[in-house]
Amino acid sequence: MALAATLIPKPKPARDYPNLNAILGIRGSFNVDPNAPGLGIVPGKYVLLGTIQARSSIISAQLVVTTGGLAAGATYELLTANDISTTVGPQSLLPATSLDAAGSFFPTGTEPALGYSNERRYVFGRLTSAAPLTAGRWDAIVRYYTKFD
Amino acid sequence: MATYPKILKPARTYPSVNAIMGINFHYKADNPDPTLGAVGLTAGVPKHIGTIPGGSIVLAGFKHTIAVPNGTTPTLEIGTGPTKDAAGNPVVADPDAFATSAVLMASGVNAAVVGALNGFVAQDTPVFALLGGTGTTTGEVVVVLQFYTQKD
Repeated sequence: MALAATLIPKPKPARDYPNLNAILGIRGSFNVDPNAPGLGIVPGKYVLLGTIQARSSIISAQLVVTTGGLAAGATYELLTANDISTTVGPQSLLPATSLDAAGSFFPTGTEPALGYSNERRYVFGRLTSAAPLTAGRWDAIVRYYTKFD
Repeated sequence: MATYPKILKPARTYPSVNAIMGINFHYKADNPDPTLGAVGLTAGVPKHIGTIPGGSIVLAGFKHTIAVPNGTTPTLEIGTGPTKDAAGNPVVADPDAFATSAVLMASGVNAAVVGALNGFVAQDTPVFALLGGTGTTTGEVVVVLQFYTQKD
């Protein structure tokens, strides 16, 4: 699968903190209400949420739907790609998950992007919705560890 | 006596940061590159990989078995210790207190790795990796132990 339709205004650098052996995270926060804080909502486009350093382990991904009912059939998915040019190594991190109802959703243990990689990975999210969005709020959180020791 | 670190890594945390902390261990049997974070193991010789600060809560760990170690009855465990036996040889007190061999030798990802010492640890707790069996020449396993240290 190529990330043919992407929205990448500028590659985000990987963010870390020296000598801090903490579990790090990337969060994408979305709210259909234009007056609420959050990232821009662009259905059908892969939106870059952040960058994970090479030789990191992605521990988990989580989708938290606080307010569902955006539009019937709306889904959100997460994936990683090794190349910002969007053609190399896209791997699923969270399969397309329904946004119809509130809840907290996790990938199965078999999603290929979970775990260790020698490569730097860009995390993308994509909203898919055939109908116009009317309401809703959701967050995507990816946890990872990047220190060697 | 097998080689053994004389100085253990101190418990590492960060003042007043309310973050979940981690200890990473990247075992690679063939051509491990320490500059990239990978280390090898000698069967029967526990390797110190970090220390969990006293007063921490040890959470479920994470592991990714990229390649299952080969050889004759290979085992891989993450535990605590060591103490020394009567002859002065190092003995890991509880070799699989944080991750059992059954879990680590299973291929793939597991984000719910638990052992007997998950939960509260009162004292600074050195963590060791221990390879068992003979003839291991290939294998790659990454483990991230997770714990929370702050008390407020």
